[in-house]
Amino acid sequence: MFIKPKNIRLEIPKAKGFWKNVFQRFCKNRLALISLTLILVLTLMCIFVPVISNFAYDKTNWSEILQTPSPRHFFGTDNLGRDLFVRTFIGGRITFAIAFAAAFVVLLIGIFYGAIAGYVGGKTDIIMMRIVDILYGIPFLFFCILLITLFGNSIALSFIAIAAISWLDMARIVRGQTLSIKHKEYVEAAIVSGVSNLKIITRHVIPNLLGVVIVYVALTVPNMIVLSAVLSFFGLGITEPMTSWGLLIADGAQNMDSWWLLLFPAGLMTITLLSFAFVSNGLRDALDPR
Amino acid sequence: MHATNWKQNMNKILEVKNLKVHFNLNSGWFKSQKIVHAVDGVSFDIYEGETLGIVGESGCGKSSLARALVGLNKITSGSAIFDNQIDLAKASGKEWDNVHKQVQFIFQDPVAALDPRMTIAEIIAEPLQTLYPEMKKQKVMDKVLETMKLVGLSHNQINRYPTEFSGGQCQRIGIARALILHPKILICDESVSALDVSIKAQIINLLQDLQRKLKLTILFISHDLSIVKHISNRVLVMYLGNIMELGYKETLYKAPLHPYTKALLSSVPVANPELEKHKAPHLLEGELPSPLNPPKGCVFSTRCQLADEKCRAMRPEKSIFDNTIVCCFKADYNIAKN
Amino acid sequence: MTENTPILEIRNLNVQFKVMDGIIKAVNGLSFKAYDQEIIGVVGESGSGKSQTMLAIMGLLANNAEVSGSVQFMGQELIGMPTARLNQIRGNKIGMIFQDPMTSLNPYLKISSQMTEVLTLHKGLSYKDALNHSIQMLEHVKISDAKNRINLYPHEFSGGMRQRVMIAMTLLTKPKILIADEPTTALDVTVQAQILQLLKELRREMGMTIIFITHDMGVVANLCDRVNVMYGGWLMETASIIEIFNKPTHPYTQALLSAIPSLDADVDKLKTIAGEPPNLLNLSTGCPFQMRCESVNRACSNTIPLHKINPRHVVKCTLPIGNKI
Repeated sequence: MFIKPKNIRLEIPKAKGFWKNVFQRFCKNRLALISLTLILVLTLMCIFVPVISNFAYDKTNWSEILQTPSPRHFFGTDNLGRDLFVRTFIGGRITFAIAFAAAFVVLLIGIFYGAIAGYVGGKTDIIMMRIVDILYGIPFLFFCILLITLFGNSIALSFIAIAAISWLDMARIVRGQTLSIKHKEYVEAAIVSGVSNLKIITRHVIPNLLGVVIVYVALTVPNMIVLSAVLSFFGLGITEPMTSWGLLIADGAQNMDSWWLLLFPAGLMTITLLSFAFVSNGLRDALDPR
Repeated sequence: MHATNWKQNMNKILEVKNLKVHFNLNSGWFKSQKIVHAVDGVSFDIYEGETLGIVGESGCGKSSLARALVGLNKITSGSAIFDNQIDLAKASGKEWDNVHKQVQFIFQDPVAALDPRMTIAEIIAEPLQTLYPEMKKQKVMDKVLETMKLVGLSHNQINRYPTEFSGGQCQRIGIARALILHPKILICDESVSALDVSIKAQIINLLQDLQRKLKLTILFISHDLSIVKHISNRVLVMYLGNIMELGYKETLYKAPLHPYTKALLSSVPVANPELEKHKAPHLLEGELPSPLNPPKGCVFSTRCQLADEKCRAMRPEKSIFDNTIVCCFKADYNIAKN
Repeated sequence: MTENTPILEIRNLNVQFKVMDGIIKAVNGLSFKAYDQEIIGVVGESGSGKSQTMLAIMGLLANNAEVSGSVQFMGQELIGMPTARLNQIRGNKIGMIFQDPMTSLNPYLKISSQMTEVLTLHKGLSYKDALNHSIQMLEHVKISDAKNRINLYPHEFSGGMRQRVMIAMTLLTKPKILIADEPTTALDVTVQAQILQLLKELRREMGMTIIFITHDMGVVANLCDRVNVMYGGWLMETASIIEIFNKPTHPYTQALLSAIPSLDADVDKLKTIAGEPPNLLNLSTGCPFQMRCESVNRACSNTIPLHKINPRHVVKCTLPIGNKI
C-alpha cells in the first residue's frame, strides 16, 4: 500500500485554448499587431470614407482640376476634378473586396482539393495533382484575355480569373501538409475508432493544417491585390468611372507632374502589402511554439 | 487475474491461421516486384482473458501483425477469426466497425496518438460517439468521466489539451479512449517503450488492474523481454515475419527450445552485476536478412549456429512439445527435461 | 583501475537556461571524479541532467546556457576554455557518441570522407594514411569487408552497424575519455549485447575511460564499474556497481530499482514512484525528489547534506546514513 507524501500540491491550471495561445503570442509581436491594426483601419476607411465624404467618387468638377493636396481635398484632385481621397478609398473597396472574396474561395477550394488528394492518395492523388500541374502551365494574362474575349469585361471576371489561378498553390500546400498528417498516430487512432474518411479529413486533418494555411492566406491576399491591380492596369476588369488601385496607379504614372496622383494610391498599396507581410510573419511566429 | 495463477480459459477469442501481411513498395500504377514480407505466415490462438506477449527485434513483424489485427494494415492472405464470428482478413467496412467495438489499440507514442487540437474529453468520447451515434450527450459525458476515473485521471482535467500533459498521462488518456467501448481485446503496441522507467511501472500496473477489473484479453507487443515476462501469461517470439516459439512464460524463459529464443534471452542484460559479470555472452553473428528477400528455408538459418542443409532448404513446420509450439528442426527438447 | 589522480574532475557544476518563463536549472551542484580506464554509468530519467552534464563537458551547450563550476580534464580547466584550445581536446582527447547515429553522421557524405576528415584535421595525416587508419579501425570494431564498405553512405548501414561506425570514428583519435549518450537505447537487444561487448574490449585495448549514459539498469550491471544516479539535475548517489545493487541507499535509487521488472525475479505488482519526473522550470529549493519521496521530511526543502558511506559511496540526502561530509 503506497502512502502519498503529504506535501504534493494539487494544481488546477486554467484550460488554454490553442487559438487563444496563438492570439496572445501574436499580440506580443509589436510590428505584427500594428500591421494588423493598420489593415483593419484601412478596411474601415474603404467602407466608410466614400459614405461620409462630401465628395462623390465620380463627381467631376472642372473648376478644381489637378489641385495639390489641401485641407479640402486631402489627396488633391485628378484631371477631372474628382476628389482623390474618396476615389482612393472607393478603389480600395474594389481591390480589397476582390482580394478577400477570392482568398475565401481559394481557401475553400484549395483546402478540400488538397486534403482529399493527399489523404486518399494513390491514383486519385496522381490524377488530381497532374490536373493542377497542367493548369499551372497556363499563363495568367492570356487566360484573362481569353475570359474577357468570351464573356466580356466585368468585375466578376477579375474575381474569377484571380481565384482560378490562386487555388493551385493552396491545393499543393494543403496536399503536402496532409501527407505528413495522415501518417500521424492520432489519425490512425481515429481509424481504429471507426471514424469515416471524410470525418477524419474534416475533424483531424484540416484543423491541424490550418496553422500553415492561415500563414499562407496572409501572403495570398497581397498577391491578389497585386494581380487585380495588374489586371486593371491593363484595363481589364474595371471600367470608368469606377476605379481601383491599379487604375489609379496607371493614371498616376501617366501624370507624373501631378505627383500626388501616383504617390497616394501607390503609397497606400505599398503600406497594405507590407502590412500583410508582417502579419503573415507574426502569425507564423505565433503558431510555432519555439 | 494474477499472471502466474492464470488458468487457461479454453475459449479462443482469436484464431490466426497462416496470416501474411505483405507490403508492395510502389503504390502507383507501376507495381514493383519489391514486396516486403512483414508477416510471412503465422498461426496461433489467443484465449479469452489471457495476456499474450509478442517479442522480437526490428523487422520481426510484431507491429505489422498487431496493426493488421486492428485494421491499420491490410491482411494479404490467411485468416484471423475473431470470437468465432468474423474473419478479419475478409471483413468489410461495416464489419470492421463491429470489430472495433471489441478490439482496440494503444499506440507507442502517447503524445502523437492524441490530436493536439481536441480536448481530452473530445478525444476520449470520439470512439463512443462514432460507433454509437444514437447515444445521448449526457450519457456520453458520464461514460467519459467514468473511464477517466478508471485510468486515474481527475475530472478537472476534462477540458485540457494534450500538450498540457506528460507522457505518462497522455498514455492514460489513450488507454481511456481505447477502453470507453469496453472492448474484449486490447492490443498494446510498444505502449510503454517511450516512457520513463518510473512511469512505465505505473502504466504496467494500471494495465494489469484494468485487465482484472474489465476481464480484458491483452496482446502486449514489446521488445523489452523483462516487461513482457512480468505482464504475460504466454509469450510469442517472432523473427523476420515468422513464429519461432510460443509458450507459457515460465517454461519459455527458463527453458527456451528455439536457438533464437536462447540467443535473445541471453542477450538481455539483467540488473544483477554478479550474474552479468559471469554470463557467457551468446552473441548472434551476422545481420538480419532483408525482408524483401527472406531466406528460402528457416528464416533464422543464416545466423543460427546449429543450422544445416535441411534448415536452409525448408521452412520448419509447427511442432508441439509439452504446451509449447516451436518451429525448428533443431529445437532443444533436452533442456525442458532438466 | 588506478586510485591516483582522476582523469576528469567535476566540481560543483551548475548549468541553467534563462527562458521566457523563468530559469531552468538543468544541472545543480554536480561533483564527481572519473579515473583512468573506469566505466562509469550515469543513470537517470527525463530531466535528470545527465545529457546536459555531458554537453557541458564537451562545450556543446546551447547559446543561452549559463555554466558555472569546474570541469578539469587532466588538470586543464574546460569551462571557459577558448574555443580554439577546446577544439583540440573535444573530438580528439574526449570523444562522444550519441543515441542516433544518423544525426551524427552526414547523410550526404561517404563514411570514408567523414572518417578521414577526423584524422587529417586532428592529426595532420595525409588522405592515404588517414584512409588506411580508418579501414583498420572499422575492422577493429568488427565491420566485415571494411575496405569496400568504407565507401558506403550512412543509410546503407543497419542501425547497429552505424553505431559501430560512430564508435570507430570517435576512436580514431585515441581519446582518453569516451562519452556515450544512450548509444544502445535505439538498438535491438542482440545488437546491444554486441556493442556492449565491443566497448568492454575497447576499454582494455585502448586504455580509455568510458562514461556511459543510460536508463537501463541491466546495461549498467553488464558494463559499468561505478554508477552515478541523477535526478532533477542533482547527483543523488554514486557507488560501485556491487554496492548500488546490493545496498542502494538513496530513496530514489531504491525506488528506481524496485520499479524495474527483472528477468530473474517474479513480483506480483511493480513498486511505482507516485507522481511525474520534475519540471525543471523554476524549481523550488531543496531536494527535487521531495514531492515523490516516501521518506520526505522537513529538512528536505533546505540544503541537502552529502554523506560518505565509504570512499567510493556518496549519497546526497537528509536521511541519517553514513558520515556527513
